[in-house]
Amino acid sequence: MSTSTDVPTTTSVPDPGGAPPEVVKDHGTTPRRSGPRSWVALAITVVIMVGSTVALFLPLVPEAIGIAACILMLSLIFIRMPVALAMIVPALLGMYALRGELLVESTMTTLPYSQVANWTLSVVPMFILMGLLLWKAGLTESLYATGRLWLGWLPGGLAVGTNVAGAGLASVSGSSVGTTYALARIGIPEMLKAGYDKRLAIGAVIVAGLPGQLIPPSIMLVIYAGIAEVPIGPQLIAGIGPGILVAVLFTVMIVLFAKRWVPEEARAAESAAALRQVTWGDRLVSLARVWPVPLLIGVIVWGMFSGTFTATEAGAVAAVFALVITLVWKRGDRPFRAIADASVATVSSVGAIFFMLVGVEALSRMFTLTGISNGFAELVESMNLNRVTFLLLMMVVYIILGTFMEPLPMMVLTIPILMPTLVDLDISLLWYGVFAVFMGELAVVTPPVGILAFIIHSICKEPEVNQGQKITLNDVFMACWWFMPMAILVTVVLIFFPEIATWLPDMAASG
Amino acid sequence: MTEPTQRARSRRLRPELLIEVPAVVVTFVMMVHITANALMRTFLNDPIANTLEITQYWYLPIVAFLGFIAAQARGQHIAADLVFEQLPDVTKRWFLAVIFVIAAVVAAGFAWFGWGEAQHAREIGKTAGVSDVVSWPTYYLVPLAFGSLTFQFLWAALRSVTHPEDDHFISDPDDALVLDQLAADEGARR
Repeated sequence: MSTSTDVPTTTSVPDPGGAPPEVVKDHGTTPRRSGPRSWVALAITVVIMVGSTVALFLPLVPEAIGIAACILMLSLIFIRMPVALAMIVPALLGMYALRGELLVESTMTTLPYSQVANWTLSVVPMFILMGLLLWKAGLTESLYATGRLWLGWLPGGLAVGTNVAGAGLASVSGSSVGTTYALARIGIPEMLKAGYDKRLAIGAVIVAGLPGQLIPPSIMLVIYAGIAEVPIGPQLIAGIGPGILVAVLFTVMIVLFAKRWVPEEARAAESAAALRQVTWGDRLVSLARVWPVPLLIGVIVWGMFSGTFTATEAGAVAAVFALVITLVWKRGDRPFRAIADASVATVSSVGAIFFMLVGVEALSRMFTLTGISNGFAELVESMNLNRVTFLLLMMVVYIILGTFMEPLPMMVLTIPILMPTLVDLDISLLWYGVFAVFMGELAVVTPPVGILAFIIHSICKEPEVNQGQKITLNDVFMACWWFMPMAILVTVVLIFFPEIATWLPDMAASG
Repeated sequence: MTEPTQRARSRRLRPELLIEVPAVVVTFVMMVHITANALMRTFLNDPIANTLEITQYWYLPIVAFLGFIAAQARGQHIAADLVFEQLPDVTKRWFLAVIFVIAAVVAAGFAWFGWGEAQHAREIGKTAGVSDVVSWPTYYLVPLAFGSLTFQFLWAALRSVTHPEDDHFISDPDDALVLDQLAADEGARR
């Protein structure tokens, strides 16, 4: 996402047909910028970029060249160079400055192919295909109904149902934004109709997708495993415990909020209705309707836990299931259109992710030459940080980064530089993957740039969603802030009890 | 997704299909092949030979390198934006143009050296790892993808100068899909 000021133009999505994005034109333009402030911004940007480029070629110690490369990279990213190239350009310049043109040549010769032809990462297209197929298949309504039938009796049952449905949907579809889109359209109107405060209605949808990238199958954890060079199977299994923790703690929080934000009579009526009308038969029937979700998670977890399948194989099997599910569920409603949309989107997602991984590899190689990662580890040591204080500090760093960056760039930029520090402080790399991915997920939520907030706001403009209430972007941001303390609590719990993430992979390894 | 997808725009034949159709076909072949291998190995104890090598040296490079081209064609390469929006409007188009020209130069470099590497791989008849599965043809995907990217970036540089109003920005491919859907909803509502 971009800055909050240009939020309206963000709907100017690339048009698959190549035609200008006409939908967008008439619905808001970026405020014109030409005041002195913008010229100051320009001057600073140019000075930083030119300065860091010049610094790369000065006779400095390697660490200083590494820092100059970092600064150049960040400034390129912030003026919108694609992240992959923004990593490649300073990496190549840094290599040239440190070792001369032969290294640059050999990097350019071998890097892309060796980075792409990588068995471990072959799980990425499979997970993406499966997720997009399920997204297009329309699982949401059934999941939502099931969540309600099972948990409707709790205070704030609708919100709790939304949260649980979101966990399931986000994990199998791998997409927080997709989950939010789907849940906002059905969940928010229902909750508003039942008299819920809008903060609760919106907040429940926003946090619903959070556990999704932790519970397998998770593309983010796979990408982390690729960068940190940890085995993929244990990394995916490590996400299970924390994913469940996140879902449970946010459910508790929603129940507490519901006591305040749902009118007494609405609550009583709701839970009475839920208890009276819903039979166990209904519940089981509803569970049978959402069978693909537990089945897909089950196939992947069982396959890897038992060692029957590799991650790629589990992903491929799950993608075949997802294909069948899409055909069955969308029958009569242009199933092949849905499949075509999902698979075409898979190709460009895979391309974007692998291009970025090529960039990450270039950057890590340059970091190794400069010794900047080891330098950072020494710095942490000299500051007398131990595991807990370092991680608390990283939590703050990630939250700050998350206010203006997307999860993927955040992860790929921080992990290569942190590796030696993590080893020094004896932090489990599997655990750190879970931590980094959860921090990345928070980035999607946190104002002012959280894309989820923008999507929800956009959906809430529809009268059938907002039920006549006015929902401003600010309302959405306020709802986010109410739920942030719980996110921080979850993170702190994870820091103090790393076993939540590591005991399952340990058990799988020993058993 | 709760409503049938409304496409606000017409679908017509477009050049991206040349890239996307083969990539999609290979993705599905990869899925079926890996699944078949997993099931046959587990239940019949009869795996398909060289599945790993074919996946690693054929399917994955084809999908990923064609994906490079497709992602740029759809403007979906991952980017971020913090400072760009703050810059004076008159300079924005030139900034974008310079960025894309630099991108084109880098892509041309990868294409050039990738071509040399591919020629070399062909001469020695490179195979996948220790197997005898031929792998050298997929080395040509590197110059193909980066050659195409070179022209795509140059085109983007030109467009950003001549049509700055078309400027669009996507930070994440995943978001693109949802934003696309939102725009379609918006169009349907009007």
